[in-house]
Amino acid sequence: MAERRRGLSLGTRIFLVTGLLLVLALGVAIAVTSYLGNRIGLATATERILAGNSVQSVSQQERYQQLSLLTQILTADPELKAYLLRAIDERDQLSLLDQLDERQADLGYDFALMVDPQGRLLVRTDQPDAPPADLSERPLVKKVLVDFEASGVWQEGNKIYEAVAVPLTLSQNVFAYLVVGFAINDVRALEVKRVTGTEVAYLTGTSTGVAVVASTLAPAQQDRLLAALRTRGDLLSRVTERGQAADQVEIALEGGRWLALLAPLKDATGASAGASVALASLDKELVGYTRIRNILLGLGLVTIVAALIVSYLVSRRVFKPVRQLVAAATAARSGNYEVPMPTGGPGEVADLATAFNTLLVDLRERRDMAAYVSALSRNLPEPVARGEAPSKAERARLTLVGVDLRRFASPRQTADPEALMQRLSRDLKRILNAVEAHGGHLEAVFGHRAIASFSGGMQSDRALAAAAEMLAAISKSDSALEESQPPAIAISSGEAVTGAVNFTDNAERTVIGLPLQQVEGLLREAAAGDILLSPAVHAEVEAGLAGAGIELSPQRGLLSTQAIYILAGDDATRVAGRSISAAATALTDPASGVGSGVSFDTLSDVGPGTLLGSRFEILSTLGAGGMGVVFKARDRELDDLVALKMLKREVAGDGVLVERLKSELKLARKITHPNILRTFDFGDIDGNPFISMEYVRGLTLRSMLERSGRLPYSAGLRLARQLTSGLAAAHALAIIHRDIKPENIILDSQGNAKLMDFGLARPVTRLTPGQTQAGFIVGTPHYLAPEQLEGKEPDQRADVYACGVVLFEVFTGRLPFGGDNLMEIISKHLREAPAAPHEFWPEIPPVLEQLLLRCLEKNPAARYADAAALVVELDKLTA
Amino acid sequence: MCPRVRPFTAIVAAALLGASPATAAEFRGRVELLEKGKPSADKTLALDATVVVFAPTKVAPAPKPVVVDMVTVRKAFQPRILVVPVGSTVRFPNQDPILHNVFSVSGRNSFDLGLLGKGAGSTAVFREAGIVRVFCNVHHGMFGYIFVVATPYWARVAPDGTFRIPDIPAGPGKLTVWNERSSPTTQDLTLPLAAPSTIGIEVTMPRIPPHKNKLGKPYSGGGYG
Repeated sequence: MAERRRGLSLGTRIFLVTGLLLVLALGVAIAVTSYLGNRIGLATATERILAGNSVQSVSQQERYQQLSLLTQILTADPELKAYLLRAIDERDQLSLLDQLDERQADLGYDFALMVDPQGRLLVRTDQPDAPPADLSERPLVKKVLVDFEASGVWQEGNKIYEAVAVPLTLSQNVFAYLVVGFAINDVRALEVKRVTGTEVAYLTGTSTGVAVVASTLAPAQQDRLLAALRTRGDLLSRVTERGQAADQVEIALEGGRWLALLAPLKDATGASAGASVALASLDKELVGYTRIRNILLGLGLVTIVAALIVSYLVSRRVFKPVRQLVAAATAARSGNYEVPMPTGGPGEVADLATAFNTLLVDLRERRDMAAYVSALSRNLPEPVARGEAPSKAERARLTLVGVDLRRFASPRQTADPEALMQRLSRDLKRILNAVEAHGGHLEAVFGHRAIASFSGGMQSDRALAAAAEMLAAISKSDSALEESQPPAIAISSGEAVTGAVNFTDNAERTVIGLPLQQVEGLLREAAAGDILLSPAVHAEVEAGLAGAGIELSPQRGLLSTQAIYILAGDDATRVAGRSISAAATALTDPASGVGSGVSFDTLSDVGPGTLLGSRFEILSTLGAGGMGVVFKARDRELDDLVALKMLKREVAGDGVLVERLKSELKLARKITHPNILRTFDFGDIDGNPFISMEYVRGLTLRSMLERSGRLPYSAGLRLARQLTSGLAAAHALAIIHRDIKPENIILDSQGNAKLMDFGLARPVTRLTPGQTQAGFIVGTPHYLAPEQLEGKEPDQRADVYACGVVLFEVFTGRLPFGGDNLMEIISKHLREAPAAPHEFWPEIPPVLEQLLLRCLEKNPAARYADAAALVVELDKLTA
Repeated sequence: MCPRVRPFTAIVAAALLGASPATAAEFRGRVELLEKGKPSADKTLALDATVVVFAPTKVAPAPKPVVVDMVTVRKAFQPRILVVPVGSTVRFPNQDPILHNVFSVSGRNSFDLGLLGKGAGSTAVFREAGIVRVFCNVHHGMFGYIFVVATPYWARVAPDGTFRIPDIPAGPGKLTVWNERSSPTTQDLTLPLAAPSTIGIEVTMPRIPPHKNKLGKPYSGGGYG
């Protein structure tokens, strides 16, 4: 498959998004911290250098005051002045120098000089051998010559001093001017630093440009400072030459970023003689914030790593079931439904897993069922099993029904042979319908006689029912004909061998054995319209007949020494009237129609091409039974394929019954559920009531069970779920089916089960003698609940019981209550505990076994309340 | 440099040793400088800056006046201590290239020689016995002592503290012991002594004696620096 995987898995995405969010959060925290830290740091540093600057300026003033005091001490000493005057007079530079040095030692100034009243140098301490020079243009001298006092920065080469100048007077005459100063040196810089906490540098312009003359910085740093300041445009010259104030600037020195504030150093005339620089390390101010940031970063990284690990683990854990789901879904897409589902996982994932699991189970069951159905279908010819010849011969206990169509025994010479054969065919077809409606086989036809066999449970009851039905059909149907003699019928049972005989190109079925002999013997004794029963047969159907109020006594035959039981015509009709078995709808054998036309006398006349009631176009016959025939037809009104069930007139004859059926069918129509076969319409055509239903192409559960025994577990479970959920839909509307049995469950080609014939089940015949409705159970009693068998009004729980029997059979292939005859079966249903399912299927899940047994409780109150409860229980099982 | 008052008390101990004959003998002794009664460890104390003078009660012959030099050189008086008889003349030559001043305000021996350039300098005559302190008004670290005596019996103490006054008559008198770092102490003494003894002198003065300028005012700027 060329499908491209798009990007990353959900787990990885969540993992990455988590990580990204954390990184983002950390980033924001760090950015905010850094930003605030920077701002606060900058503010602190600015404050610091501004403070440094003002301290610097205050301390300069103090220096000047201090220098003033020094000069006062000197100028107030007449001895000194006399000495100096004498020395000047004698041009005794040594004495002058000696005195300046002497006072320097006492007073602690760093520099002193004396000029004469014209500003010419007399002596200076820093250059003792300096030749006389005119210093009158030096700012300090210039000012003191005019103002008699001056203070300011004195620059001397690459040295600068804070200096004051005063006149020296004796007797009101100025004989010299004295200049004393404190050096601005590294010591001074350190003092300022001690007070302000800022690094300090003093700059001055020299012949080689601006130089650092004093600083707290190391020489290398001083060079960097100068270099950094030089990059700031004309900042240096602005401050050091023009004496302008400047804003602080940020510069990079060793140890990070610094904030520098330059202030001009002014000489006595107010011009700039250099600059003081206050420096505060931004990084030092930021060190706290940097630490916070680093801690944050460290913790954040640890947190991110931890969170990523946790998120990775969690996402792995959370998405493990999701990945498993994806794997399972991918596998399911390629047809593999067996990949296990995760069971754990948080909330929605668990829900998803459960839902997906349910889906998978459903798919698995559907696949199994479909495979099962299709495997079965392949082995079945379509339409189903017509004239199927068993390839194997077998010996079995059979009940044989022999029919002698007496009216064809001696055909009149005037009779048209063509019409005669047609009529014979029609009668044989009626026989076939009746036989197959009751699960028998038409074994052989010779002349106007036919032999049918019934095998399995209740074979004699079914044989009798079929016999009664064919008698009724043939007797009535030909009332208009000359040859109105009814057939004679004989029923016998015993060991017989059936199988194919092969003496021509075609294999033919036949039966041999004692029962055949007996049937032939009985037929010879029989009068037209009678049903003769052998003693063995009578013994088996006695109970059923008693239920219908019929009691037979043994009679001696004319030819046979055996006792014979004769069911006379009237009684036979009565039995037939009661013999509408729900099995009538079993899809068995399509009838081949005869002719076509809108009007018909009997259902046997309806076949492909017939248009019934100008509405239903018959396409084929799906089956026939005691109640009538089922056709596949096109409903011209609905323009849809339908299954059209035509009821026999005899069935419909009872108007009350028809009304009741009508109301029940109306009710049943309300059920809309995929597992309920829809009923469309109910009405009558030419006096024949009909029901049109959803047409489903498929098999009845009965035919499946007959062919395969029990269903595979998953297919069975699917069927069980569908059956019960369909039934639950009915129960929700308070509709009871009353006659759930495999014949009423149809499986379509997809293996979907549909429950049909809602409302068709007749009120159960009562067993209690003396009641007006007392009748004869012709259908199978295998699926009837005890309370139904006792003739009580059933409720949902009777359906639950029937479901239990059906599911028992579905899962085990066996009935919970076996038995050869009606009485035995009924008795077991009423009194005996059912067989344990695991006897037939040892691997049955215990839960399922308990479920089945609970359905089969005698007491309705002990069963599940309704089908919905059963659905819930079944949901606990997994295939 | 202005003198600083020392924070401790000094004691000068002088040992007086008498081993003389009845009429005239040699007076020998030993001086010890003490601080708080114990021998001082102060290295700046100079034992040879001690003068011992004995004045007999009986009239003694007056010593003959002399003329001696106290030179100002390298901003110091040299010698720092002179002992001269009453009436002697002291000359103050200036050997420094700078101007100096020499003055004293010690009672009747006060004088002021004014500013002296390099050269022979001026002289001063001392007519009264006593200690004359000599200063320079522009060089506060300069000081000298001129001990004017009225008796011939005196001696400079040797660096090891010993002294010797020869030909001293027996009889009572007053013994004065003075070190530049102490006040002069005077005691009665009758010679000859029975046994040599030691006299302690307390060191009380700073190295540079406190003094006022020649106008009797404190030097300006004193105490600064």
